[in-house]
Amino acid sequence: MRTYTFVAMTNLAQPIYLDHNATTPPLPEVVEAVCETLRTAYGNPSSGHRQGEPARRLLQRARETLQSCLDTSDDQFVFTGSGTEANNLALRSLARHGSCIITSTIEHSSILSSATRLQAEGTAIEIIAVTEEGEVDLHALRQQLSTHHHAAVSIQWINNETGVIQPIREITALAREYGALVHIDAAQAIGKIDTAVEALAPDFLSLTAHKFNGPAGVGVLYAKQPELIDPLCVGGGQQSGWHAGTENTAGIAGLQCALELRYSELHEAIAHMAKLRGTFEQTVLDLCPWVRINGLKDRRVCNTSNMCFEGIEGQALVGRLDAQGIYCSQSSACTTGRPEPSHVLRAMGLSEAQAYASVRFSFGVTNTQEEAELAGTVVATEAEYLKRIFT
Amino acid sequence: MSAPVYLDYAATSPVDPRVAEAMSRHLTQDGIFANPASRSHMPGWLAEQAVEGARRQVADLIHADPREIVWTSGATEADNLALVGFMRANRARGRHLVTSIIEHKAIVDTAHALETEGFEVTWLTPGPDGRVTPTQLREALRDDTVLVSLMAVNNELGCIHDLKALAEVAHAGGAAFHVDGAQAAGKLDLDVQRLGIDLLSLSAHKLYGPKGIGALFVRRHPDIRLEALIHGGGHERGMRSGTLATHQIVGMGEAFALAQQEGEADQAHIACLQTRFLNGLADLEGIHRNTDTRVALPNIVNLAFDGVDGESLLMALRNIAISTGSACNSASVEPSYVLKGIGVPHARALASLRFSFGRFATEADVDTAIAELRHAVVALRR
Ligand SMILES: Cc1ncc(COP(=O)(O)O)c(C=O)c1O
Ligand SMILES: Cc1ncc(COP(=O)(O)O)c(C=O)c1O
Repeated sequence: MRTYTFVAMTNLAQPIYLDHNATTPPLPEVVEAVCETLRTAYGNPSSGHRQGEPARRLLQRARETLQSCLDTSDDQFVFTGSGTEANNLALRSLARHGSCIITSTIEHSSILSSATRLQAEGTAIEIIAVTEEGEVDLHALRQQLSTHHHAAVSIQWINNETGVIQPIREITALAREYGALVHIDAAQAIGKIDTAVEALAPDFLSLTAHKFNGPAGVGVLYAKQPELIDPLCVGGGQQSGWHAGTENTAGIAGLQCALELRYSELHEAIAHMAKLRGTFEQTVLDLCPWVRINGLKDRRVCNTSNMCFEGIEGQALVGRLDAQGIYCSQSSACTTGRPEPSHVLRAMGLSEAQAYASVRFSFGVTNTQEEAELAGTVVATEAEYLKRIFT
Repeated sequence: MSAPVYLDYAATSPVDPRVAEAMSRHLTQDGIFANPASRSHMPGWLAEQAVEGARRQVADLIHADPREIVWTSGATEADNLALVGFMRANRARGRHLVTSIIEHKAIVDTAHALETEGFEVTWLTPGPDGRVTPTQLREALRDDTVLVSLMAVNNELGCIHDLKALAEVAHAGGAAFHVDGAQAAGKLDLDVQRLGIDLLSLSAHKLYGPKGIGALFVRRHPDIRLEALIHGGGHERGMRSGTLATHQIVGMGEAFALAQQEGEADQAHIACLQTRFLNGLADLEGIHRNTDTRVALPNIVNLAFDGVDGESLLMALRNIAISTGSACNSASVEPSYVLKGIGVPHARALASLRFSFGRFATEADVDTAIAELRHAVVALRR
């Protein structure tokens, strides 16, 4: 096995992590909540005796926090092992109760792969296109809904690569108009926009803790009617049978803590990230006016900047930035290793070359203004350097 | 009120402080927190390195190749993946599965689900010692049997299957052999090469690791094919997608490495506790051992108490954390299906308790349990 030691070959005093859409560092309070649970609440939540009690309470508390942060009146939350699993669970359940699943070309791989799998098992799948600016095409959605009775819809709230906020209110309203079940993949939305779920009234919504400074390995599926869930794992009867297996208690404690922290200062967090992203983009664009922003510029979530550096190899830029201690990525982490152009950017009409020339920078609450400025300068400098080499 | 004496290690075990320490280093911003699937930067590579180190630690304990380890959220998911994934992938070869009636619910319920999907299951009844014999298995095999699933150690009884002999029978019949090793890992030698295991489910929280992480060993030679349950980015060689929880994985790796170093000492300690416990109750009348201690791990002792009701006894023993049956079914008052499955009469099954020992249990804990138990049994019988 190759081994790496952390030698930042960098001129930066501290590396700058700008890959928060891939994962975020758990905040110190979250780490403490996880470790405290490991140390003290070691009982099995399914055990009837007193040592099971703290673990049971912790699950209940996490459900209450989810309920208040998402502003829903019910507490039907299923804990899963990842956002990917929550999405799989949702899609399976839609397939069981809907005649057809309507989704989009820019969904996360967990949705698209599940859809492919369900299609092989006989479920009808319709994949609708997006606009050049990365928004789901509402006309296409209406058309599909009117063609397929009792269809089900699965759309992400925010795209993980471009940060484009989908017209989720219109989507859920349309679905309701046609009596279709709706699932929202909110993995990238939680803690980055106002996520009042009650008003949207989706049937399912999934999220994952590691995208808002919680630990990895804890997903959640909200279900308005949990009896619609078609379980992926059975045996043991935990979580009312909707998700079998001993719960990840420490992770769930971390999720609870991360949610509470973020939602106690949600607007400040959003404003902070928006300011950093703004500074960063301005710095890059001032120095490199030829750089283009992918996705509907003023309908993007506060933290994401997907830039097309036309004429240069994005991979080369990412590599040079890594060597300098600036960490970003080209397409979603989940599909990396397979160096294909981003399916999201391609679906928006970018050429293969343009997709390869694009890089994603995603900010987090732990980034600072200085980091945003410095990163902007370094990115622009490196981009100019590569531009000269490539052209 | 002091914390109860914990003798429920088979339900879950406290996390070893060394495990918690390793986990905490893989969470923080200045530690290793990145996504191991991030291939574009150093933090991602470091996270991947941590995951691969843990993969080796888990593989080492069972003498497997690290590439044969697939991370899951626990043994339940590993059991589901093994059974559903294998049966679906091998549908063309046959649709028959052999298992037993006293497997963990993760197997029992999954096998039932497979039946509704059109697969056929033969449910073997073990002997009074909780074990299926190789002869029994041989008789159950059919031309279309593709998989045999039997647990290494039963979670309520502690009895140990003769895995080597069973694997030989399964293989001679052309079937693959899956083992639920959740209760066995680190407690007995689970050498997948020597025993001939093709698929092995593991869980961290029975071995002083965190809850919510487990693994499935999937043999590569001959290549075992599974259909994934969870689809997505193609993690874990396509068998299980989803962002890996680096800290959880590191915790499991550390727990398994500790078991490799200290497993024998743990088992010696536990055997002493078990002897002390049984000796302390030896002169009490009307106690039956549901566990045949000659063929069981010392970790688990399942006892029936004549003339008392198990639930009342459990209530009377509020200072000892133990369970009736398995924790997973503790919401119901049905007698344990495992005890029923080995032929324990209804009333006796209802008056049964499971005591399970582990690394952090002490002689004083055992003495407290003995004293409380003697007191409660005598009081309830009056
Ligand atoms: C939009 C979206 N959905 C789902 C997921 C999957 O969540 P997880 O990483 O917990 O498997 C991610 C993250 O990768 C995501 O960005
Ligand atoms: C034999 C056996 N298999 C499977 C499991 C389930 O493991 P987990 O709790 O990791 O899902 C358990 C524990 O409850 C068990 O004892």
